Amino acid sequence: MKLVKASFKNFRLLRDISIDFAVDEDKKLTVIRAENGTGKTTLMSALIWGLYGSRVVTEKIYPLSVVDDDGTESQITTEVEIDFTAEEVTTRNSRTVVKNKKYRLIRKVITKVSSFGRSFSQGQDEVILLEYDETGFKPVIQSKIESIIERTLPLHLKDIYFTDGDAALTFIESTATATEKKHRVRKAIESLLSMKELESIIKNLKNVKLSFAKQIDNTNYGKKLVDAETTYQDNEEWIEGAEDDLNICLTDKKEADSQLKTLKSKIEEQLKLGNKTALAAEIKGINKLIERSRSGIKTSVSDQCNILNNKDLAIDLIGSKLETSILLLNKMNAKDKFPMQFIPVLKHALDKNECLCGSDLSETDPEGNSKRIYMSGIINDCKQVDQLNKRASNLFFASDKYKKDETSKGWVSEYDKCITQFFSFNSTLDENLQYQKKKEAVLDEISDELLNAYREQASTTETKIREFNAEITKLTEEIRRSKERNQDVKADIDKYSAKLGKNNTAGGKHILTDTVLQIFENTFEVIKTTELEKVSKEMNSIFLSMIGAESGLNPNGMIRSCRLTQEFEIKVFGPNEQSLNPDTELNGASRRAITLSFILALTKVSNVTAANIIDTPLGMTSGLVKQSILENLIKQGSQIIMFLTYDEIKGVEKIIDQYAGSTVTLSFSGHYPIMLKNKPARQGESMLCECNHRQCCEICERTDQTNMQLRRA
Amino acid sequence: MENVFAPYQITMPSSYQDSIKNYVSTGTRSQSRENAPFNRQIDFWYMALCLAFNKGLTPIKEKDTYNAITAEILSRNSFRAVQMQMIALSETNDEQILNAPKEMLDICINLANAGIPLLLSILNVPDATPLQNIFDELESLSK
Repeated sequence: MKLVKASFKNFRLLRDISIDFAVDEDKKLTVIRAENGTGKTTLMSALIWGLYGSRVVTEKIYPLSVVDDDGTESQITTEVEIDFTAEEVTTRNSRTVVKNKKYRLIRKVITKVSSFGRSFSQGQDEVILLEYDETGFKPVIQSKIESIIERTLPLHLKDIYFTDGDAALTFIESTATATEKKHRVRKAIESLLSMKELESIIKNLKNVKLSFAKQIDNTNYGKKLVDAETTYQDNEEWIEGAEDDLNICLTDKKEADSQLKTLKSKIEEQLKLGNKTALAAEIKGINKLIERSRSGIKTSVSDQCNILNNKDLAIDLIGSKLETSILLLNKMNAKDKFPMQFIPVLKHALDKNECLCGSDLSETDPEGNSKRIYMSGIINDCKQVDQLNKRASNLFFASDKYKKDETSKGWVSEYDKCITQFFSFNSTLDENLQYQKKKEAVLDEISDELLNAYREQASTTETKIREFNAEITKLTEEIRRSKERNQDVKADIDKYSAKLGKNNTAGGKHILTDTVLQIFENTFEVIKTTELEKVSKEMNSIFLSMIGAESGLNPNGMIRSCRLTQEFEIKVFGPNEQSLNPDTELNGASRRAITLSFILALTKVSNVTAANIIDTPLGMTSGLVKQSILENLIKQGSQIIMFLTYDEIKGVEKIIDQYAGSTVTLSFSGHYPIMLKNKPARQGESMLCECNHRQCCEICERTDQTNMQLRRA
Repeated sequence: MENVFAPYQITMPSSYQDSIKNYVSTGTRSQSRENAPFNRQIDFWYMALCLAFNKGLTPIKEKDTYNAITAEILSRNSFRAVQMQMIALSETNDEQILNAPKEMLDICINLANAGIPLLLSILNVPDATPLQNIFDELESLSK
């Protein structure tokens, strides 16, 4: 099976996105670049829901962000559409024909959400499968849909093909008990075998055997045999029940472990956000800087306004047009029309009533008075001429200051200075505002109440885990003892059975049933062992290839092999078959390599060709190790779909260049403004863009671009 | 230097009274300086006069005017009174005008009347602030 395309509508954070997957043999890698919290797990769940439906994905799937907040009931349609190809083998006339078929699977469900999202009810899944032939897509009949999907990617293999790189480490991690690790590995192997039918036959045979035992003649050894057989069967039933309880306990503990891990990471996130008081003080400091910038802008604008009243500016505007007035003033100067000083002399004569020539100027003398009037007229005329000349003189001497000086920069340089300051303050203001916004968003996220609530929940979960551990230990021990007791009882049964009379027909049937049962049990064990060995062999080969000499992961050849034991343990061996503890004696990269090798081995042994969808496969790895793991993952799988964080991509860009047929970027709008630089158009949803591992756009551009810059460089 | 215009009033066309006040910061509240780049009406008026003189606009004698401010205010920027006399001298090419301050002022007022609508249209250009608009124009005239 190869995934060709998938579209998601209203599946939690995925409001409306489509992804094309790489299907080319040479470029079989699809990279979905995504940071933590962008919707990777949601996308995986959406694909699983698309394939298997609500019987497998039982949590709520509608997006919370589309619920109407006006108190009315909402009706939300969730839809996943998956285009895939599958190889189907048919045998006709002893000839095997492999056909590559194209399908389109559409799964829809309507969820009714009550007012304000208080409760919801999800309807029945509606599934349509279309098969492509030359004429286009044709619907497949409803009864066949499930079997086609099951043939393509069986449900029991779901957890093998949809892998979480971090979760895979639970196969070897030290926080889990030995029983848990074995349980997880056994579960994985059993899911590979899917031998439920065989197990059911074995159970039926046991019941048949007991019923034959009850029909045996009750004399002599017959009674003892019946008693022993009843005890054995009772014990078996008890063991079965206890094993079921143990499984429930182990599953619950696994859930509690993962819950605790999530809570611890949330506590860590809260602590990382920092000290609320220090942050508030920092914001206060930023606010001061913002005020300073604003005041700088204000001053700079005011300075610009003042330039409008600047003398130089006025000269620049009118200076070149003042030539006429300047020429006129120059002419007046040349004619020496500027103030003459004879008015005081005339005034003196009038005051003395005596003319310059000595004649009388008194007002009583008619001739004198007439002269006085004449002289006063001259004085007045002179005053006017003098005023004109004085004004002209002033203007003449000032005119030099009002000529346009082509060489002087005058107001322009002052304006340049102002505008430079203006832009500088504006840019500082923008930076500070953005910084303030980020810090305030961080401050908003810091919640002491939240931290305390997480701590309380973590403490409760830890208590629960301790209780589970005690229960697991108790049950494991009781099961072990019961099994030991049953071995003794079985020996008694065999002894009594051998001593039964030949004519006891029920006894013969009992022996026969026992033999058949043994055959089935042995078969089951043999298949399990054979498959286990196959997985072990594949895992060893993939692991050694990953840690090859060139990867730098196995210095001095300290790791020689790895294997899966009959007890479902993953073991690593050094020189001379020395056993190495994978959790304590291997580094993070090797641990990841071995768990991924185990997963890949399972997919290879399953004989199902399907896409491996792996979340965070390269966490905790770097350099050559990272490259080697990635190259091997690509080499081993038929189609590889990876969710990689920006950090995981670091150092493997060239491999992605070489093998990726499709690369997209998933971002979450809620990461603005702390992690995303640009404000998204809509809130509360994951956004997909076509950016590859070396690009960024308006949608995915991050506030921290360090990784991107390195990549572009 | 003596302000020969001090006894007289500077008048402006009544039709532009409201528009002019939009671009003047004194007397208006909550108007940012980028939108009201002129401190006082006299500053606006003087810019209009300079622009009209620079562009050689035909003076306009307005009938319906209002007393914007007394010309005594020109003493605060004494260069303006000098420049106004030189403008009047240039416009008339007659030195006798220097002895007629009222006529000189009228010449300037009529020139400014022609400059006011031009200045308003410069300030009104959309997509930028009036402050940017006026400086864009002044820079282009300065080149």
